[in-house]
Amino acid sequence: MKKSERVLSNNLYLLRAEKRWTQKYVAEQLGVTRQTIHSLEANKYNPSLVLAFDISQLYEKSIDEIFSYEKKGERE
Amino acid sequence: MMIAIYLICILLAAYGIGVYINFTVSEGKDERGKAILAKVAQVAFVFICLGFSFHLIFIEFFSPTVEQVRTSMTLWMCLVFVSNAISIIIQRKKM
Repeated sequence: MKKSERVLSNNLYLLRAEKRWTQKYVAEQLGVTRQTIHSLEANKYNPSLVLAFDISQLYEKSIDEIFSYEKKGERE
Repeated sequence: MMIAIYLICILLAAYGIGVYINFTVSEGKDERGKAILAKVAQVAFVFICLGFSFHLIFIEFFSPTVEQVRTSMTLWMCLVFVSNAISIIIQRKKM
């Protein structure tokens, strides 16, 4: 049986750059630390569902437009 | 010799507690911070269990003196605090 590794990625950095917001500003709006925003943008940390909804509301985009759940590779 | 061990242990433990408090105050409030603290607690718990097992065996089979038990307990607590601090530093970079 084949198992595929799936990775949650996002385009938060691009969205933030479009709006010309700082990490600090986004962190304040979402009620998290700047380090959390950095980790999210670097794909080091996956947000909880609540935070994902908050992010989608902040950027006025759907969750699908921000986050994507991709297959990274396949292994047996 | 014992005083030197105690002093080193106290300094390391103070460093460990300092790292923990600093992280809790600065980054530990949001969900990433809480996730890091949860992982760190798991690591520290392993050391607590190992230390407890070690002490049970140590006291049961080696009949240590009070001073030896005191030293081993100091080292044990120092190890727990230091492992906690090291885990925080590692998880901060990883997550």
